[in-house]
Amino acid sequence: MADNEGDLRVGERASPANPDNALPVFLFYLLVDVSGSMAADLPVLNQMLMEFRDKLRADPVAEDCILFSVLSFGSTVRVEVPLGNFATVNLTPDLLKINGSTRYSEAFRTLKATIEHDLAAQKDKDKSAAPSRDRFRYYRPAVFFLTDGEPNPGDPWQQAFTDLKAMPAYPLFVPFGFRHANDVILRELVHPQNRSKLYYTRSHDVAAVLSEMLDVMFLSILSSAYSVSSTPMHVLPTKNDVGPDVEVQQYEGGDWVLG
Amino acid sequence: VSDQLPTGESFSYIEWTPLCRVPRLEYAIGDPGSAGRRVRATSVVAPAGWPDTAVDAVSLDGLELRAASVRGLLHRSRHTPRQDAFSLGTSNDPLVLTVCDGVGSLGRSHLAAQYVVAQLPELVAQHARDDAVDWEAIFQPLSDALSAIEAGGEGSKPTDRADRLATTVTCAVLRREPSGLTAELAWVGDSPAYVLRQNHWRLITAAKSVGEGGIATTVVSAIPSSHVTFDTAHVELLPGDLFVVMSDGISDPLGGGTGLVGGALEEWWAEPVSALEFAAHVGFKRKGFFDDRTAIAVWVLPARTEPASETEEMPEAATGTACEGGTEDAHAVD
Repeated sequence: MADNEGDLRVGERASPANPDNALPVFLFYLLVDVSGSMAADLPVLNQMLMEFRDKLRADPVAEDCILFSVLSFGSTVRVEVPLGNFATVNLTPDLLKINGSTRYSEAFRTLKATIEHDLAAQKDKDKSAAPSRDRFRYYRPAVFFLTDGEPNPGDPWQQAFTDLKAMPAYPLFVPFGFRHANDVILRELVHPQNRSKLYYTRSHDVAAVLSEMLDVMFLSILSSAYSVSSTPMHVLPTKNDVGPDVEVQQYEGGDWVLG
Repeated sequence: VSDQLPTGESFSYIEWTPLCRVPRLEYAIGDPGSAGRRVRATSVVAPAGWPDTAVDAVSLDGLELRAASVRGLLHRSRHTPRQDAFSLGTSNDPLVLTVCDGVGSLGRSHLAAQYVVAQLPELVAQHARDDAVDWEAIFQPLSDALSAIEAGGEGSKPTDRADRLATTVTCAVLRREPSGLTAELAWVGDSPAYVLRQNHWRLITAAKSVGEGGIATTVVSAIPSSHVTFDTAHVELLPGDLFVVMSDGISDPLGGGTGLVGGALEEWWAEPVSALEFAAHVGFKRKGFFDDRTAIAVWVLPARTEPASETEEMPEAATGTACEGGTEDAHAVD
């Protein structure tokens, strides 16, 4: 009845545009260096990926709102685990294998193409679903970039990284560096500068710090998943959350444009 | 299953007989997700004994009230307490309905929510004038009291987030006026109120803001605060309306109310349901939604054509001035 509608408008506010809030989904990518110098580290990495998979299986709250993918890069880039529910993936102890030298440019280009492909695929899947089916909303992707070295001499990684940052769905890019990684270069990869962080170590106890760094990544994924019940956001561990050997470098404020 | 109780009231119930198995009251809207299938009600590590679920019901002349607060799957999986709370202040005129949603990042927010819902009915009674409540006189002192609780004997705000507390609060004051039933609302934070009228969910309180990329980016107001800011609204309720005050654990999946969740709640709540059924509805499973859930629903019943001799009469209601003495437990049907 029109009269009744009028009564209600006294206190009515604008409703959210969407019919009902869609299911929130976080997208995470691990982009991991498998160049020759990583040979001794791969067993640790492979083992920890399986442990994280098991942890996710035991945590259905996190499992419900996370899609995770693993890419390895060396001379070439491989999508080792396509984007999906990581809790259900069959992993082998030799998933990650040594693959030549350190080509950052190829890694960034393939990552960009993979993210674009994954988002398009999710969009198509949702579009073709029946109207009564659940709807989803996808949070900005986050990429954990793990490397122990510098890019090959002459590698045009800057242009590839600029292109990655220019994507509409650009990822939160979180670099992790150890052994021979160049912290000056890695600081340039922190993106956006005011939201992401660099995790870096100078420790020679590589096995220990590698475990710590992967723990940081997995803690970040789980903490981000838990945030969906309040305010969805990427949660990156602070210095207090990581071991003493890992430095956490983050934006320290300041964004002046004049004066 | 019978349609009739001895009293003659129309009522649907499941009659127990030997070997009669009642299905477990659990609901899902869409995909319940892995968490919906696997996370069960768990113990609370601290404070021990904090209830997983709270339920209440009140039947008044012309109104049916149901309330439930159900711990979210995240708190269940972490063995942490439900931080939502509610109260039905139905013993005074006016009726005072309160929902609080403790701020999740602070460790003692469940205490804040519980404290505020316990205080509001009396505070509103003290500060209610004929046609409006002096909310200014309520919220700031209430906030200051929470600050004092938070500080404990220290006299200053704790630095550790585990020792701090905060809560949203939404309070609805229902009055019977000569023109009909009205609801006066005041709120701090994002616990909303809706009216379901003629198959449409209508949001009475402010919507969550939507930020970059369409993702909700909320800056939630809460108490305690050195300067409490609150909003108010006023709505006339009509026979046939369903008025619901809720925490964002329900309003987040409900959204604008035209999707799956809005349809399911509309169907389930087309008529008053039992208190336990209502709690089961409030705790519906839906993939990706893990927050605590709280709702107070008020069914404004269509006018009766003949007096019901079994229900306690409310003489005050005829004059539209008071509801005192009109309460009775929903289960006390005899």
